[in-house]
Amino acid sequence: MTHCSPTTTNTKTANQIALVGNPNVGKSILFHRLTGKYVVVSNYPGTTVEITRGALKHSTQTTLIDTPGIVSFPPRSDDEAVTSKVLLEEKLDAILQVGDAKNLRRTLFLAVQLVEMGIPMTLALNMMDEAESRGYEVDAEVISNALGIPVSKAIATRGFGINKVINDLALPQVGSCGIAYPEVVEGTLVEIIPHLPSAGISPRALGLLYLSGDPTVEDWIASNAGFDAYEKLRVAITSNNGTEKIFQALIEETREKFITHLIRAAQIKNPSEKIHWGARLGQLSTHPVWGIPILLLVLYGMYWFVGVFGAGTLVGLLENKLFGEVINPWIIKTIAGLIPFPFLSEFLVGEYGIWTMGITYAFALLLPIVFTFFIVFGILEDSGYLPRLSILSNKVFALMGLNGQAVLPMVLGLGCVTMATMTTRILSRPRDRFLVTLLLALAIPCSAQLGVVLGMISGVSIAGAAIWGLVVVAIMLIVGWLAAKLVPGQRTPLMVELPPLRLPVFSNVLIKTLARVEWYVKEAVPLFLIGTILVFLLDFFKILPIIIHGLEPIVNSWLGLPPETATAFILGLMRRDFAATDLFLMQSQGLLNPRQVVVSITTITLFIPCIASIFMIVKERGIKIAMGMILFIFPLAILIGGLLNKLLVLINWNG
Amino acid sequence: MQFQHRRQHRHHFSDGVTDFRLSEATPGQDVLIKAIDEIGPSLLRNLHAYGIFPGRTIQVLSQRPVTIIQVDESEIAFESEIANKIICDRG
Repeated sequence: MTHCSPTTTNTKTANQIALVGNPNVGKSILFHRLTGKYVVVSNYPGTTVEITRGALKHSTQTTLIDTPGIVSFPPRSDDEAVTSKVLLEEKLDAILQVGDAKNLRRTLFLAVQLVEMGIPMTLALNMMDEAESRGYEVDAEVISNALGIPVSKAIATRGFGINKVINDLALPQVGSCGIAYPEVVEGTLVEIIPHLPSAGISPRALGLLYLSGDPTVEDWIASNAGFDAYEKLRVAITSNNGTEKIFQALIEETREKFITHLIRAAQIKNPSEKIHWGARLGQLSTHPVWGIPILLLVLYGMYWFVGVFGAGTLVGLLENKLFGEVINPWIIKTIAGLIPFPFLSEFLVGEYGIWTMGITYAFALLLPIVFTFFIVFGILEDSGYLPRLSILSNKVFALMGLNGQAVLPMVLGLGCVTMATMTTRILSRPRDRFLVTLLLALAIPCSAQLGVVLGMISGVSIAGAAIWGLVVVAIMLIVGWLAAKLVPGQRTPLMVELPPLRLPVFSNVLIKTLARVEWYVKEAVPLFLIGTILVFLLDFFKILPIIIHGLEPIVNSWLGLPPETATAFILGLMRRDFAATDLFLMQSQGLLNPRQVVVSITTITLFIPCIASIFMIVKERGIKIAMGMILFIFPLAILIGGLLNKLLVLINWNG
Repeated sequence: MQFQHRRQHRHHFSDGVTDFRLSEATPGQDVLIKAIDEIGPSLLRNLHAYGIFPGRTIQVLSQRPVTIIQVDESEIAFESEIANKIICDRG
């Protein structure tokens, strides 16, 4: 990869190719094969969807854009809408479509739409091994002739056929499939095409998308066409007595006929071999009985790798050894020698210093957790287990007005709620994103909170742990249930594709992980630093003690805890080790009895985990919703803690 | 099993009565999609994109914890709320 020059950022003059395909067709692995190491993950302009760009290995002047998987146009989610936007707005030199060779109908349905767009393209039929093991023979030549574009066969996971893909990419063709739509569609097209603004795709394709009611295209036209033209478009459609539904049905039907015909010519199905192990294990993993032990095994593996290895071993090495014993003492000494102003040196390396607290926290404590989590996440993603996880958990989430797809950010929340709040972007509807953000902030303890909780509970009893667990789960279900009733909008029923289980390609998982870690450093770390500065200022101007003193009476009389726990509560929001050491110390000095331990950890769990996660909620959901959540969650946590205290006193529970 | 037996029995009398909802199909059964009840346009497009539309034959793989079907070479899972809207005949 030495020939990969660092000119990847120079995208203005360079060529651009979009990688487009259905979900689960091995797009990201092919991307990885074609681009190698130098990839940049960023948000697509004006959206919150992450998109990857990389320079082609064999032609570094060309940037490959990896678009989110799309089943067909019109797009069905924010993610898919980005693919539409790339095609509409980017100046593309070519499209490389990746298709699943064993799902030819779906591949060709998208191919036909792309061909109509009039951009030079090539098609790579990927996963030929899976197609062949199921008895399919595919004639690429027939498809190539029918669509007028180069078509190749590949097995991206094994690197097979990549050279042909690269060669085809040098000579992409503007295809043509000669589909003629029914009279009413063609007639309306003729009327509307003159009024359409010019786009990256052909007027005909743009018109067809507009007729099928593509919301992205409609928005795009509304903002790019003049008022007059837009009016004429509306008139043309209504005067032809058409509705989106009718046009859509006619267009789909015509394409369907063309594709059925083409598949008959291009594909032979032989009796297939025995069932693939992936398919068998896949069926077991969603089995009502066997699915559960497999799920527990996966969760335990995750817990071990992220919770024990990441949060334990790696954090221990980085935080205690590297930062605690080597880097920080040296920096503190150097800064003290260099800077004579106490304000500035405190700001940098003091108790709440930007280095000693912010940077140390973000890199020594959270980075190992985030890193190990993303490895596990990448493995789950590439193995095809994630959608199965959403099936198994769907019932629980249905209670809270969500569907199983919410399991992803919720599990991620056990690692870091800040990151998890960011990943609510994968949910397709704003309503779901709101509900998950709320539940994450309220009831999902992040690894930092879990550390405190597990440490303290181990000094009490199993019964204490059970009370904590029951209260937190009950609050999550009740609040989730109520919120789902109160928040306007309907629940989205679950519908997911289950790809066959596959062994993940390790290098691909690693590259994805590194790209995501970079994203974490760019998006989340600044929030930790802003949080640190805020705490520093509050402390420096002696506001922090005032807040703590204000909280003491509530903590003492309502929660039945020693006044000093107020300090731990407030500082715990900033830095978990403060809460932990404070509370541990009080527990070991006998200042906290078992009842007080259970009450304090329950309250801490229900709190929003940390100041960075509050900022992330502001960033993702806006200041109004964030304020609302803060004003709801903190009082609720204290209310529940107090009620629990009263209840435990009433039943005379002492561990 | 009992349920399926009754359905097979009915089949002999009239074709119209044999219609059933996808959510009622037995795992392992091949079914022909006859119609899809009124559902939102985006969900309808979604189903169509995956190859689930009238005239197609699909195989039911499982009904618990959700309905899982095979169409072409892909497995699609959806909950009964959607499966209830899909009207089938024996494939």
